Amino acid sequence: MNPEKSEHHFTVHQLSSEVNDIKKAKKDLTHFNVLYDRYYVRIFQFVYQRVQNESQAADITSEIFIKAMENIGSYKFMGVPFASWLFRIARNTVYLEYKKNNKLRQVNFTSEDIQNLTNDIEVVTINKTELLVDAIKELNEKETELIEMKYFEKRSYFEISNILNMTENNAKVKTFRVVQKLKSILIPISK
Amino acid sequence: MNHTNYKKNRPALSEEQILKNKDFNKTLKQVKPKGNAYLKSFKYWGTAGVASIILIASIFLFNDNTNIQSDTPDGEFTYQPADRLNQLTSVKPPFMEYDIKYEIFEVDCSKDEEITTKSGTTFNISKNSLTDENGILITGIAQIHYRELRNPVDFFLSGIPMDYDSAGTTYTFESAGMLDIKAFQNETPLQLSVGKTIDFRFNSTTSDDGYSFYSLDEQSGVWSIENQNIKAIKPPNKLSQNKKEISLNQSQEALELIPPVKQSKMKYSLDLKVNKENYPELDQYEGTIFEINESEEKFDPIIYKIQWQGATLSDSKIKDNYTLQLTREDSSISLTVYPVVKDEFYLQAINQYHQEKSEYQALANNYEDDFEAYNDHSGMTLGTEVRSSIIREFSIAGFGIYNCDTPRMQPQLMAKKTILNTDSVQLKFNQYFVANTTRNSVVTLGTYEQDSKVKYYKKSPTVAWFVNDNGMISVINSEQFKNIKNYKHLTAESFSPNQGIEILRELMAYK
Repeated sequence: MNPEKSEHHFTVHQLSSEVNDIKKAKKDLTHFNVLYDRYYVRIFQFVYQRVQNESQAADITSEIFIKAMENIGSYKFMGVPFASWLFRIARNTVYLEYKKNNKLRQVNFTSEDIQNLTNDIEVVTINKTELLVDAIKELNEKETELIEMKYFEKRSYFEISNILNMTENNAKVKTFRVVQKLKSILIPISK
Repeated sequence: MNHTNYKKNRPALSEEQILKNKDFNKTLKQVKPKGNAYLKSFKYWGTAGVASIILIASIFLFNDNTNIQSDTPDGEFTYQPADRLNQLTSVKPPFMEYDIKYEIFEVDCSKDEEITTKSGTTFNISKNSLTDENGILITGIAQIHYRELRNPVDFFLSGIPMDYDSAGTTYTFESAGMLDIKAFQNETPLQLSVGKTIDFRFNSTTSDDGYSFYSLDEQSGVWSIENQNIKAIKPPNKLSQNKKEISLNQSQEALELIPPVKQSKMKYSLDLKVNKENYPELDQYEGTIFEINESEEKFDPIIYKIQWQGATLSDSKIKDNYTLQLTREDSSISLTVYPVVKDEFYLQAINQYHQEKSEYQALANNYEDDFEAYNDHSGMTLGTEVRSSIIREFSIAGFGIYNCDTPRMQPQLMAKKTILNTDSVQLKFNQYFVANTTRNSVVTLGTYEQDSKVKYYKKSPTVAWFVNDNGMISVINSEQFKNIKNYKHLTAESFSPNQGIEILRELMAYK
């Protein structure tokens, strides 16, 4: 396996060092600040991508770290970065927030993101940006999440697989299928 | 996709802007230590102790950790949201010991599980769909706690609020059936993984249309609509009246569609060769054997060692059971047995059952229009269970309390009456319940002071009751409301909770 490079990838030394940080945090939560510093921005960005404004993102990010600290005792190192565990908490907390407070799920993307996705779909259409966005709206939540992680957040399949608790190959296959689905939605329109 | 906002080119936040929100010390101060205090409480050891005993008993009896079902014994382990989750809840049963019990099903988180409840409701728990509170997938065995609340007395005893506010008006739900489903692993509440659903085929209490699907926020007691107009899949009326007409052929009546029961590895079983012509229902599933119904007679395993010369099977008075007569020259024995499916054939059998059930249902839906087609559908099996049940299909995306409901006006008429007990002592109480006995609902009303007004239904029979200071149930019967003008005061008759519940069930036999 030769996973794509991303900040989600750690060397063995980094992983080992992180395990020590976690051990210290388990004994004394004030040591959690090392992990907090390391991941705050990434978790905040993950949340901000999915919510409507900065203050909502700040509140949810804070809640995620509170949950992480409250549950650090039950964390077990499974050979993947601590970030995976944090992202799973983050994902769940964000969804709970939608449900609990009846908040809208936000999907953010740039023109460049859409361009990258369009290139992969390989369907030539006029007004392709608008049509592609309309096609994305046809996807269910799981499918949207894969497109969001791969194309809008530019995560590696390795990272997606860790966050969604699936194999890397499964993440690839599922994302490929969603791209194919988008293609099938767009082809009739482009003709 | 609903509830999603798509935003293009929103300005990104710089790292500096993000870091403005970062405050470790403030976050740390909000961390709550895990619930050690609760672990030490008497209540914890009470519930945990009993739960452990039940689990051990289950394993001992069944030795099969897939989809074990056990009833919660009277007065023992009962899930109480306030106790278990240590949080505020709007669900306040008036008598903890008479709260509606949960059926408990054990599921293997790594497998797709199909669950059939006592009422005939079926639902699925798909593999890898349960997480802890942090969204981390759990493995191993989890317990699904499930109960249905089907009539006004169930609603009263469960303490689940039935009020629904719409545009400032308070309505009361009339229910076509309510369910409460929770999941736990080792006493820890579980959640349904994001994106996963549980699909229900719910055995509804009425075939009427106009019911929507609501979920309850247990903390606030507020109901939210999930889905409008959940149609009932109605059984065709002619079906039961014309059982012989719809026989599969001249000589054989329609078979009952009986859900397969999985073999219990720790129970005694018998592999019998049965004449399928006499008992075609026993030919439904491959791998059908018999287990001995030990609740009917004390079973002595020595019968296994005896060389029996004859075996006769006949119908038993117990539904879905048979009487097995084993004979030899010098002795005979009679056993009550029921069919089960061998472990290795169970998955195939349950799939077959669901396929046939849905085929039947699809056909039954078109029954009125295409009776002939129904007759011609060779190989179709028909079940009394299906015939008598009214199914509503829906999916849920989280554990909680759900209701098929329609909002109804609360009673509008009021009469200023003194309420006395049977010793002519005037009564007052903080909360009372009013039901229109022709509706499947119960209205919870506030304080009744001396000489305040009592609400009742004008044209429908009304029953009212409350829990008095002695913990008794005091009931004002419908006769007094019917002729309320003739009564100077109303009399509430008091009963022990046990008696009172029985009487309320009789008074409100929901039809």
